[in-house]
Amino acid sequence: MGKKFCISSLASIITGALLVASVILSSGCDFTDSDSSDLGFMPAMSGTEAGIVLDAGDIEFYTVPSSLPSGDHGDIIKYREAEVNIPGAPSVNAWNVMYYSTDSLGVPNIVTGTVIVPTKLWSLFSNRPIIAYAIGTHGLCQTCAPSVQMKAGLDYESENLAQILNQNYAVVITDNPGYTIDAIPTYMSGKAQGHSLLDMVTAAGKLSPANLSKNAKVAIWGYSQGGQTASFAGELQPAYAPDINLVGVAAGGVPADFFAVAPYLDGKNGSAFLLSTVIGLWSQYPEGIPLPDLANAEGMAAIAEARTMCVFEALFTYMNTPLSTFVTGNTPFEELVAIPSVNETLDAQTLGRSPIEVPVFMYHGTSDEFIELEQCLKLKERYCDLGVNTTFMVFAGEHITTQFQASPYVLNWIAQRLDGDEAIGTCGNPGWRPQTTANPPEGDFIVSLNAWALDAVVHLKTLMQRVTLPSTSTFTCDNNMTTKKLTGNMEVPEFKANINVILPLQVKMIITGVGDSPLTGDVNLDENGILHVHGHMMTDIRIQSITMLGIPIGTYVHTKDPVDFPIDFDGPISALGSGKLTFTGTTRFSSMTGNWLFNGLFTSLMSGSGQTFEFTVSPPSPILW
Amino acid sequence: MTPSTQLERKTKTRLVVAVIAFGVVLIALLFIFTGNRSAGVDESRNRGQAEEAQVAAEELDIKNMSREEIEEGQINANRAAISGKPVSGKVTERPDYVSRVEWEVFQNVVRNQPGDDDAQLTALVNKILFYKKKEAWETAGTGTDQRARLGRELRDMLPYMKEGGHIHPDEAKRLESALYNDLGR
Repeated sequence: MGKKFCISSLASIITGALLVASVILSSGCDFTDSDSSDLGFMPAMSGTEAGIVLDAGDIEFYTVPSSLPSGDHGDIIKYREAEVNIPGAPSVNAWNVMYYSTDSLGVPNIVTGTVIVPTKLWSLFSNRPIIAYAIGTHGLCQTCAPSVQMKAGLDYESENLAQILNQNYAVVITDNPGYTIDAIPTYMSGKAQGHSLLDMVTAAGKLSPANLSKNAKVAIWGYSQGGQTASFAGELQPAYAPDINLVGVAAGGVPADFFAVAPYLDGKNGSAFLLSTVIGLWSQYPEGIPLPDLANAEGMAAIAEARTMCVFEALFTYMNTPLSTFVTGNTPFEELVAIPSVNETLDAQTLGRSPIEVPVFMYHGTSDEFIELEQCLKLKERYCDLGVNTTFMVFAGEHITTQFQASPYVLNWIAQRLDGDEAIGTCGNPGWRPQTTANPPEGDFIVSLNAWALDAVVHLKTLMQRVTLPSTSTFTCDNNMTTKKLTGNMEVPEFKANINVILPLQVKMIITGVGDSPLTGDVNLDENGILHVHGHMMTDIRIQSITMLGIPIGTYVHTKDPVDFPIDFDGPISALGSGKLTFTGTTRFSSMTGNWLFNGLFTSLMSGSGQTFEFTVSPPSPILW
Repeated sequence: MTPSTQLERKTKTRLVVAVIAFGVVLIALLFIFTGNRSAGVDESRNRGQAEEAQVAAEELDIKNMSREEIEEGQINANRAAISGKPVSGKVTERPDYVSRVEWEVFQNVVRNQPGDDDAQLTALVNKILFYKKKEAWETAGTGTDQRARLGRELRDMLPYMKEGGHIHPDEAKRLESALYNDLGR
């Protein structure tokens, strides 16, 4: 195990870091109520910037004890029973844990996290597997920590966690370094994050009430920041935590090379991630990223402000803002990177220089607007060159949707590893290379769903019949998160419908959108990652041909006025990719026109209020590369 | 009968029962899985009613109607709607503004609906009359007596159509406005 360390050295490290923070930062993250603002030298707190207020018990838990026992990395300092609210999860027991880990420089640090174990019995003959889940970017405020977000029922990755728990696996989630009271997250500091994940697994094995075996099979899974964490953990595990029975690493949307990732973020939709990275790397490498020397007044203010925000608020606050805005003399990014210490610090975050000894599953969305695709493809090639058994899956999604599109495939791959099946891998030359289809990463932040599968049913009230649209129907939309406007269309191929109830009557139906953008409305992604969609899909419904009693009896009839399908959704952003984006509602059909002989009949049967519908939108299938 | 013969017979009986049971299950499964689950109307609920509908159609002998007969019936019914009157209460026989085909369709629709068949049939009959009158009104010459008469009848029927959710609100508004222009107050 790792080195022992003593209370005094740890205390001096923490004190040192906080002193630097107090000098540089003009305000701190607000995680307490107004009565508990007196936290030493940190400025007084007010309000609830990140939306959650810690109670006294939380503050006590997330505060590093003044007197610490000595211990190795992975040793538990303290734990408590935890409250977790994960929609869709089975009954679980959970614990928050504070444990020892090691930062990127090899210095001991203290991290918090959560262990969640389903209450359902696993098996008498094998150990319950553990999924070490590396979370994506949550934000720099202490209350953005996943353990806090899960308690509040707000964690945007809940969908993935629920899926893990529904497999009856245990899941351990590190908060990542820097989420104890008064600490500063070392965001995107790869080694520190990798260590904290591995130590979370070790700590879970030592948590008696969780009853998890130290010999349990462990799979690592992470996306985005979590993909970086997962990959680093995989690379570090053989030397740092060889006792962990690791069977596989799944890493998606991985920022593997900052020299490629940063220009893709700078001044673009994902600017907030770059600003947060600078803060996080400064926190870990104060000498490598000399923030006090680099930041101008605006930068100081932004740093202080960013530390009060969780990911979605920061995303929109700093969107399309070049990093140079915050730098003395507005030095452009390429010049900053040329500073040797900065260059060295960024280089230290590069993945793919050490092999991972277990099979690896990588994945990426071709429309990823935050994490460049090509640098991730190169990581796969580096792993393959190092002899790592690597599988790469490509999704037709942007950054956020891909995280949740991929989940069933990731879990399937993990299940195979846990079952001991051999991973086939996709190293070798496939004869093609995935190309980016991302919207321009600058300008408006647009989440596009291009020709996603539309599973739709319309219930005709008078006829008491469900009309199921063809399985090849598609839904396309642009969610412009900047202007908060929604536009789109649905494509429904002509299809036959047997309306048997009214006679042996067969009709061919066509449902088409009206106008250039049949779907219009408002879309909003709130600070808690909840997606709000409110729009209208205007369509014509045509009965293209009518055959009654085997006799063709006319041309067609169609709705006189467009049918307005209200498109309303309020739910987690994960629904965009998980196939749970469902719009249900009630609409009205106007009278039917187009065939004087039968207008009256079809109007009587189809028009009027109370027509219900259910549209479910799900992503296209991925492909292996 | 020796005990071994008895045992043999019992075994045979059990075997026959098992084979019959297996056959029943197999037939049931075939029945369940041979349904058409492709795109279109989900008729699983309505298969029984559809068969009833077919039988009813045969009873009425409309199955043997030619295209010309169907169309002629529609034309006659649409023309009859111009002077047709709304119904109230139970509709016991086919109004002349409802064609034979339409009547058969309505009968089957209300049979498939839960609740009061008579009230639903009345609603369908009045709804088709309204829309046939509306088409006739739209095509009648401007300023003609027929258009004025149809307009007044539509105006009288409109509250019933709105209350029953039988007309789209936008369409109702447009019609009200057009009728106002035609008829004044």
